[in-house]
Amino acid sequence: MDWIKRDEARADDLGRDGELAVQLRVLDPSQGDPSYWVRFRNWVMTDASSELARRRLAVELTVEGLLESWSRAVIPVALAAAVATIALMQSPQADDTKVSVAIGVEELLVREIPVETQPVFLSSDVTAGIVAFASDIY
Amino acid sequence: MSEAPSEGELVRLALKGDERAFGSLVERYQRAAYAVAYSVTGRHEDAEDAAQESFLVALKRLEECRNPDRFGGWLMTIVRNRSKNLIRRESLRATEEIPVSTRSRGLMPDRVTENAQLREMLEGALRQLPEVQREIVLLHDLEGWKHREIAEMMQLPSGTVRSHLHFARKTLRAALGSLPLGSQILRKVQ
Repeated sequence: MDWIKRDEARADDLGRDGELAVQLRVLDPSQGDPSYWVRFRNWVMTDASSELARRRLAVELTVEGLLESWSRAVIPVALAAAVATIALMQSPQADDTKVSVAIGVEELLVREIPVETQPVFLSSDVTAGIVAFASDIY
Repeated sequence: MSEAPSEGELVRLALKGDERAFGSLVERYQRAAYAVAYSVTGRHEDAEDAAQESFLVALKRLEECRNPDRFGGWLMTIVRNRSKNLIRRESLRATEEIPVSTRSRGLMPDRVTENAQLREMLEGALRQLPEVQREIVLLHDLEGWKHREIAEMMQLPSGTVRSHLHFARKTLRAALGSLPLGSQILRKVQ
């Protein structure tokens, strides 16, 4: 199939004018100076170095890049936290844990005092006895 | 062996500041850029400046290259514009022509003279051509680009490129042949 392609290319092309090509070669700067194109490239690359460096820096500092570097630290920490939370939530809570409640003096005065914290002599059974005792005296 | 990266890939890498990728683009297009610049300016020094500047402008504006696979065509538009700007600036300054003898180094004196004469003849003959024909004949017959490649780069139909090349060659042959020393020098150089 290659020969078909080559023939097509030849038909498409007028071909190089050898005689003219030789004459035009005088205009090629590398004719009398074989290293010309190497130096040309070096001139361009030297002048382009600052712009290339700026581009490299810009790539490192893009928002996407920042997020990416950030996510590298944040994602594992967030994952670990999530796992720890789930583990804590799923662990069986001890039923017999007693919660001690600290009650302030003012709160004690305002709040209704639970029955069990009342002194024994004020309990309803005892008061009944006291009333009976008082009624006996007076 | 890994395949050579495509033009689009090289452009994408150069966008990120990849030195090697940009260097490859320079190597690929430096001769064509010079030829196009020369076809506009007609002077080696101006063509050199315009071609070099164009690579730097292209790098700075690389984001504007909408189709990275067609970097060559985009670059040549920059080269043409830079060359025209340079001519405008030069015509304002009206600098002196650099002596012919300083242009070609490393050749024997008689060879230098012959080359200088031929160069002058060619420059004169090329000046007779329209800019588009100069560009096509230099890219095709000096740099060895194919019609298809030139057509793609210049965004012209392939038939138009062929026709321009045909007329350019005809004019050049006529101009070179009519010069008194022309055929003698050409035979020697060949």
